[in-house]
Amino acid sequence: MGELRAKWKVNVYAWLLLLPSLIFLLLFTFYPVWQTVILSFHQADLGSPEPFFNGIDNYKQMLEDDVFWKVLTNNLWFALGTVPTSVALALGMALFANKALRGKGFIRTAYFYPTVVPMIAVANIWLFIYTPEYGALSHVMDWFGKGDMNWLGDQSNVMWAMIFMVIWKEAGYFMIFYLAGLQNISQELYESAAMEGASAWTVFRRVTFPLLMPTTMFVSIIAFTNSFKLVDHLVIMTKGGPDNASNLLLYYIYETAFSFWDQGMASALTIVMVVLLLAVAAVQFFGLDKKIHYN
Amino acid sequence: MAEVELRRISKMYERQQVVNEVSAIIAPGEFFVLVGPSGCGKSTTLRMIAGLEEISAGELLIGGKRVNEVPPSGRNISMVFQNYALYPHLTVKDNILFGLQVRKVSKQDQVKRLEHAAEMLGIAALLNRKPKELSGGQRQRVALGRAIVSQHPICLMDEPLSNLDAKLRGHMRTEIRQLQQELGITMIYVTHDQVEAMTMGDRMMVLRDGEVQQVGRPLDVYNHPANLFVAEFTGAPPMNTTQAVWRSNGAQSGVELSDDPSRRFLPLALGFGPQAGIKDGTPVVLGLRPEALQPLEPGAVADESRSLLVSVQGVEILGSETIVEFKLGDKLWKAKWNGQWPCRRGDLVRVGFALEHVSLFDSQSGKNLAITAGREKGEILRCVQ
Amino acid sequence: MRTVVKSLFSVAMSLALLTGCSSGTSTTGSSQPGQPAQPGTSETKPAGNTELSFFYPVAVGGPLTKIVDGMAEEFNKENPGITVKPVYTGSYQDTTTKIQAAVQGKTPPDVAVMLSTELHTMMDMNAILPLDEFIAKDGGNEYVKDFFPGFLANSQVDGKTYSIPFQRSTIVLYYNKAAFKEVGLDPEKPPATWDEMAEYAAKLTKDGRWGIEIPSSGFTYWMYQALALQNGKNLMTEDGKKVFFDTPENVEALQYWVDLAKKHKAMPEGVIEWATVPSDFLEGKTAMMFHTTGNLTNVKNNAKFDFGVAFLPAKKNYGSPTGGGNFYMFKGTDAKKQEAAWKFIRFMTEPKRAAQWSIDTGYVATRKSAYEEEIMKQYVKDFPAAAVARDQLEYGHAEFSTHNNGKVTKALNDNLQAVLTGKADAAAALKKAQEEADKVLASFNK
Repeated sequence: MGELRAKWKVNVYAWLLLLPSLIFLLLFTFYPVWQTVILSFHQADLGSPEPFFNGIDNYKQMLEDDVFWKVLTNNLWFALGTVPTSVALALGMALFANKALRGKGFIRTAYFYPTVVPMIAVANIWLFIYTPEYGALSHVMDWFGKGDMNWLGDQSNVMWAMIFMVIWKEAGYFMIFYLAGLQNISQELYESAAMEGASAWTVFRRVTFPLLMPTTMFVSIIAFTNSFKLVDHLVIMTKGGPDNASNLLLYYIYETAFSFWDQGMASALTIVMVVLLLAVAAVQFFGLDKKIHYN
Repeated sequence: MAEVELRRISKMYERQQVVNEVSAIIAPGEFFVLVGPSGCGKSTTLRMIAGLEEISAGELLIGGKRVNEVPPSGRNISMVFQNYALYPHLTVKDNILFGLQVRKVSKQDQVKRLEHAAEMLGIAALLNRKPKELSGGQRQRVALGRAIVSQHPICLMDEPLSNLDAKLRGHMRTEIRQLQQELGITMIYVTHDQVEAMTMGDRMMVLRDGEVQQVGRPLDVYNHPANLFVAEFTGAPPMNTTQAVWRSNGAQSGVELSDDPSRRFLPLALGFGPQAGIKDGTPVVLGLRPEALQPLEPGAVADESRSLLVSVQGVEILGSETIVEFKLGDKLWKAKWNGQWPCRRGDLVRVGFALEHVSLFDSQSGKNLAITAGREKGEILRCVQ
Repeated sequence: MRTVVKSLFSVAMSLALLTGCSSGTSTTGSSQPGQPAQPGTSETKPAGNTELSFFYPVAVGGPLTKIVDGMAEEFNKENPGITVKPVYTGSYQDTTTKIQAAVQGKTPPDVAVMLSTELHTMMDMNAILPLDEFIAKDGGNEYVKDFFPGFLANSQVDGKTYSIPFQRSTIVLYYNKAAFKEVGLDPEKPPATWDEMAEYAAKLTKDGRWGIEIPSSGFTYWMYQALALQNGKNLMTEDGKKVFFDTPENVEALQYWVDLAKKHKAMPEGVIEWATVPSDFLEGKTAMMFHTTGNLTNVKNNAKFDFGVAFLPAKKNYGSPTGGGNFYMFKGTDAKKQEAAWKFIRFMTEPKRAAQWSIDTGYVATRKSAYEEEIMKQYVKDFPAAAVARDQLEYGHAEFSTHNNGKVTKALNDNLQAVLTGKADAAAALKKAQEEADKVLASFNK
């Protein structure tokens, strides 16, 4: 009896300690999610003054919506284009910045600075870089006689232009994680490998890379979620155009919510995005995670 | 042949001299210990031998060939690191075979060497584990396993036992020594622990601030330390010392203890004085090892010149032996007696010593003043079976 | 390390959830990103003082917030019982979003400037007040009639007036007189017809310079609407319930646009960025451009060559849509505040102030009487180009605006861009746009 009481007391204490964060979690995470789920089963657009329940109509409509499929495929290409490259580049830059004897600080800063610049500013910079005729890139392309390439105005170029910019923006950020990861690897391991005469490539393949896997895992997840979260540049650069060629899921949600004022559909799209992100993260965590060495 | 020769090897960092003209010839099959306090340059010397540090000046020869410019892997050397340098993501087996795989040793040969090493070290059951699933001693064995399978004639060890607890350390000392003898390899071993140096080494080199203090067989070094530093570095507890002044007035010569309020005079004749060329009034340091100070029977006739009446400051009874602390001047001395001596603080005891156990050092240079020709050869008592 | 990664991950995920959801939930009214001005912080004014929150966007370059704040201050001085608190709310889009959130949170601003094309959307939301009562009480139709009809067209539905034109623009043709001379064209005779424009543009094109640029990012529908108007009639009905994208005339208009690049090779292919077209013009990279009158001051200040401003060329007739922002008032504010807000609107649109606003910004003065003001007369005399936009207003029409405007406009924009980037042909794309728009508008035509 007394034991039970004591246990209960401990539990109450624990719950009380958790309460503040729990309230915030409920208020700002679970409640909105729940509201979004509910709203996604309602018709709530300009044509319906009072939202009413419409079952899975929003989801059905979504499946028939060409733009939805377009932004979804775009987003997958965008993720496929940005994640591996920016992660690989970050690793390369980290290895280099870690090795460089002279100007270490300068190299790190140079690599890192795109991260510090806000996305809106980055978008403006690159808008200029991509400007046909007299943009910075056009000057370079001029040497190949292609100065009039319309990077953002052409459906087949615009996605590449976006991917390139985002890689430039993100790689430096991921490099920081890799630098931290590299610092964690004991110098002894490299010396031991040197005693055996292992080549730089072997050392990388068999020592550095496997030991950086936790970082790679973490960075890939961040990069992947970012590829769904980063849409600021679209507002500045293309508004998703031409003809949705650069449109992404989150920007489409924004358009649906704040331009079409279709809250039901926007909620349904949000749910799809959240489920998608969770699914990918789950695969990464419960599948790949087992193969990774953690210290 | 796997002879290692250091010819006036030096290491400079920027303007700082870390190792200064260290020379030694290490014979094939020898267990050679580099010992000294931290920062003495012993690890740097070892790393220069390994090829992990560039040699600033001097020459390194292995098997008679200059190898200053040869990369580590070309020096026929294996190395055991302080933290074992085990790859945390690889199994014990892969850790041991890593070097062989890099060097493209045939699969069959790999298996053979692995089995042999695992058997020698008793780690056959651990081969599929990861390092984090091993105890400190087991990790140590895996690191040794790597050195064994490499079959290099020279093995370098950098403080390999410093991460183990005292008991295991004692055990591993014997094991490593045995292993080295079984394999017949040349071992260059770095430690800050003089016990390891004494117990494991065929010869030891004592280093201080990058300078060689003494090279020799452990007991020679122990019995005849070249200088005050070596004397105080070796032995546990280390040698007791006190400031003194050499007095030589005709027939009687000896030292006057400067720290002692009564300025006690100890006549020392044999092997000292004019023979050693010490002038009257020279400040010296007198040294006596703890085990040289033995209690005198209460009833025995006390020879004032070969004994001290002291007041006990503290006692540590260790079971097989007792360490008695007392003050001589302002220095705390320790005496080590066999058996259990239930002394108390404040007891007056008379401790005696034999003249041949007295060491005298130049108080300026710290050099041993008493190393005579006869003693230099050193007579180590053989273990009688 | 594993736990660290896991916790980092969960933080990242919940952030993703938060950002992902906030876009969905802020519209449900559970949060209010738009900060409705909080009344009750009056400093010196006596009790009974009426405070008005006034939301306004800025869409062109220059220190416009200063000018607007200054005007509000002047109003406050002249009207001791009223304090207007101007709140700069970002772009047009941001402003709409903030007002939307405020309306749903039952704290709408008392008065705001929004795109004139928000009319039908705002009516669907039942958010805006018809202004006829105020107009009737305050001198009646004389006031309204003074505004140019092209501007007023976006304010009126079914005989009621819902907004008052304020910062309005229209599209005009800018051309580089030096370039005209260079290729032997008369710099005083800009192209007056489509055929002339195509011909001139081709003539003006050389390496490093295009003949013409018509921007096609963002406001694609607006430029297209100009071409459609020139070939007959507007793209939608006045009540915003029907659109006419796929008529043969409109297909022809789009084909003409595409041909400027494809056939005449006088315009860059693909989508042309709205913001870079004026720079292209100033840099001499294009000899002519379609752009808003809002850029007039910018071009005037920065052009290093002699330039002209002209009507957009005609096919069947001249034509250009208007654009820009109007004053709106909102339901759910108290009567006293509404009175005060109306007073403020009247103040802001007085001819004298409309004239000054036009001179300061390059927007077209919204009232005929503004051009009778002395300062305006002087300005037009010194800079005749300023009058071109006004004169063209005779052929000005309502900017494209329908119910569910965002979605219909996107359907049109997307398909226009598909044609301009060569992924679809004009007739098929416009047919598709028509179908999509019909679907969206179906629920408003019951």
